[in-house]
Amino acid sequence: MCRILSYMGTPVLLDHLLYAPDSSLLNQTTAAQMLSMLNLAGFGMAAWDPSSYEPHVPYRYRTTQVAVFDRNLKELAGKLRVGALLAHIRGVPMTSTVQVNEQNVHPFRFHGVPLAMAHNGDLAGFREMRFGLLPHVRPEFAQAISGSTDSEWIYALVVSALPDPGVINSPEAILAAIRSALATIRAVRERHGITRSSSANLMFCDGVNLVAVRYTFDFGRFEASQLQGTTDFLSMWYTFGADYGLHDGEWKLTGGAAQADSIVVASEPLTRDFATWIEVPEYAALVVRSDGDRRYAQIHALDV
Amino acid sequence: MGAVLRTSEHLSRLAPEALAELVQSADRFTIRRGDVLFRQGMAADALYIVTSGALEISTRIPGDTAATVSIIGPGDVVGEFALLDDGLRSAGVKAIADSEGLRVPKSRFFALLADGKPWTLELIDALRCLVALRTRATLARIGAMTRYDLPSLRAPSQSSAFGDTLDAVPLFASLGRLAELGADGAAQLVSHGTCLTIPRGASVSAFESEQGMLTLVLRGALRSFLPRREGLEQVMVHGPGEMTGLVGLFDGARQPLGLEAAEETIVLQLHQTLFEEMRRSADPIALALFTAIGRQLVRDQRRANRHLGRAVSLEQFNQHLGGSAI
Repeated sequence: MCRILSYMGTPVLLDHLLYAPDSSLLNQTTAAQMLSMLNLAGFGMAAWDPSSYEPHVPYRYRTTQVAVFDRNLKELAGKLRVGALLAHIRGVPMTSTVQVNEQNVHPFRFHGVPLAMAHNGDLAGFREMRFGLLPHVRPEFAQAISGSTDSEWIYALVVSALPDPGVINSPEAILAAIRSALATIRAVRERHGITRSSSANLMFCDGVNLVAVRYTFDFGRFEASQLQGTTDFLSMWYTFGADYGLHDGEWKLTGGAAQADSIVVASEPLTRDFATWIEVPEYAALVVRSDGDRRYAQIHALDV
Repeated sequence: MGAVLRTSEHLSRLAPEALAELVQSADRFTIRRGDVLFRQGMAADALYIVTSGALEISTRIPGDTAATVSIIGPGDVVGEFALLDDGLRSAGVKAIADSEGLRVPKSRFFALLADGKPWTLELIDALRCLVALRTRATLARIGAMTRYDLPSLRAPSQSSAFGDTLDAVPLFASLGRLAELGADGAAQLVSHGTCLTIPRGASVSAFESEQGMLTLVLRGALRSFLPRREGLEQVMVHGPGEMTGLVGLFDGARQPLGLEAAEETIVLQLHQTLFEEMRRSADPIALALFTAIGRQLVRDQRRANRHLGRAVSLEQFNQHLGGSAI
């Protein structure tokens, strides 16, 4: 399980998203509110700065270092103003069988493909089922897979289903590709008799569109021995407004919904106070499309 | 003060002796016009009963806009979630007139409940009824909305036959939400109920059904929905350890939501007669079940409010585009 943060809107200092809020993404490395595990297996981000050279190409940063100790990231975050962001900290079971390396750090973004993706969750039985996914992955993307995670395969499935992965696609095309990938995974799971709850909470961003997916295969079908106090770690939250900053001692988006042009989506609220955060519904995608300087958001059901 | 409580819509069901003990055990509070009683997001440490004046309940939605939920006055109750779950305040309350009333601290209430004071059982049952009524009112507001996102609607479920499930007791071991029941409680509930395996996509109960059944999810997930002309609007998803059907069971009216299986789901169904028998019982297993039911009612009310907040705020967020769809 991992933690994800995405943003789209008026450019803001990266530090204010990654570090400043009382439950910021980097604070969630050791003290997530909705996930009782440490997220120590790497940090990564794709950050779009509209004032930069080739603004449609994101600044990418991936490290296996625990990001709270990363001085380079802290310095960078104090200089970069982002209009779109997809950031991720990786949490893995504390066992020597897990591979902690840069290739497994999210977000994934194949060379020449504008769409980036980060994942919170895991696919049960992935090692048994992954070769059943291969026929649905374009050969050039199958060759591009360099890590050992289920997440990179989900990404490969989605971009393989895009009509033209090399361009910025419409939100409809991205959503159709996500549906196709989820349907493929469901079919392959069934073929392999995999029924254990497997979450595929996904966030996609290409600098223009942001798609946040809250989806779990066989939700609630946990191992009998696995005590499930809550399923909060599978939730996803968003908030929007016109002005992101420190207001009345709290980091939040203010200015009213009607004037809103900025949106934050995350696997849990960035502040201890949830008052202005709303959940993305289960089995659904929040689709945010840029329209000039404004954004348009809509919930889409995912019946796959 | 006693006269106000006896005519209170929420508390009049308490016996006169119970009301008298409630008044005796509570603190008095006074608040000046314009002052804040509590803020949204604060720890919930007490229940408040208004005996004079007027309070405004408001909540914040994305964009940090405050939206007034209601104005309450003498006989009304606020902050009832404090005695039902451990969450933070879901709304803020401030006085719009000089007001006073009773304050029931959470810690004192639970000490008296543990001592078996009968009035505490009556009060907490009244609070559960109140939350159920509020959820019904919120769902009615959602149902009355004429604008909703068509892409968020789902195809109606296909009816299927249910299968029986044998030996459901071991499934309780993985339900953290019902840990207080213990193995004995699980065995007792299973012996009085019906266990079913429901295929993914099957309809469990229709919108506005008269079903007087508590449905407890043991494995998998149920989806509750409102029917729209173009499809089903998902309102909540209930995972393992959660219960459905509570609003209709508490107020006796038709169920405000339809229910279908979001995944292949194993459920335990308990009939209304058993529910009523256990409702005000001081038996430890009944107390454990109804403590979980109280938390479920609060969870459902929070979800219904979030659903309403999502619909309202997204409509505002998108209004600059004049309602065009993706």
